[in-house]
Amino acid sequence: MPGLKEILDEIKDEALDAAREELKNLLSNAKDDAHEFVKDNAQKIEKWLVMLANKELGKSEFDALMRARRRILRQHLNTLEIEARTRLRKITTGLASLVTHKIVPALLGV
Amino acid sequence: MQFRGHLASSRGDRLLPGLSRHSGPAGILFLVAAVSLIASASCIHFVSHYDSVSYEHMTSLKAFHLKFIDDFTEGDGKLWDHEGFLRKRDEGELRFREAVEYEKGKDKRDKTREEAFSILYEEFRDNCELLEDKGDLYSKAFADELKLELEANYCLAIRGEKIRTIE
Repeated sequence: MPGLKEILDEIKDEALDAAREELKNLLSNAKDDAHEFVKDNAQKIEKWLVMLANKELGKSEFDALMRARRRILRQHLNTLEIEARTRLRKITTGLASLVTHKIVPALLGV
Repeated sequence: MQFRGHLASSRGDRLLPGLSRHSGPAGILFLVAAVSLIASASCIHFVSHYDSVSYEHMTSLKAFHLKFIDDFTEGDGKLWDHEGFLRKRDEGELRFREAVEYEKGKDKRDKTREEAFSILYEEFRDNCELLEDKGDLYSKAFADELKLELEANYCLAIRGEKIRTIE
């Protein structure tokens, strides 16, 4: 079964040359990215493009999967935000508790 | 006092940067005020604590959503059942609305948790629209890919609930 590169090379439309090369570069860079999420994203999109070209997916199904991917990105960012704020909360309340219960009594000699 | 002695011996007369034992009551008040201010200012954007009901909503919606996709995916002898689809869609709508309303009804609303549910709800409605437009069952190839996406989306949302601090 042909891969995405072969499928893209079969498109004989000079107007699409730049877009085709840009897509190849973007997917290639993303697959080498250190972030697992970015890598996974590129692999999925490449797989779905091949499935679309091989008529295993319809256009509406392909579009639905791309929308689902964008939602996963939103969910990913939202979870990162929760993680960062939770860490901030732990540090701040930990500091307040340490000062109130340990440092201040020590300063006052209680 | 051992604790006090330890602080004094390891750091000389400086208990904290900018604050020595000789700072007096004004220094102590400054320290307490500064820490309280940092804590209260940071609270404005804090996420809420872990909520077992929200967690339960997420896991239950995940099971329902994945089963919904299975129910409307092609298989041996399966035919498109429009009435059955409308019933399941309405059941899903009710379940998602219950979860969303539970979040909206809280005294202190948490935008991050509302966003997590909103993304999942959007996905469900999108999946329903596609079925309605097709008027036919999902193909197996598509359903397999979609379920992987749903699994990832719910796992992220559930992880976002589990990493919150316990009250």
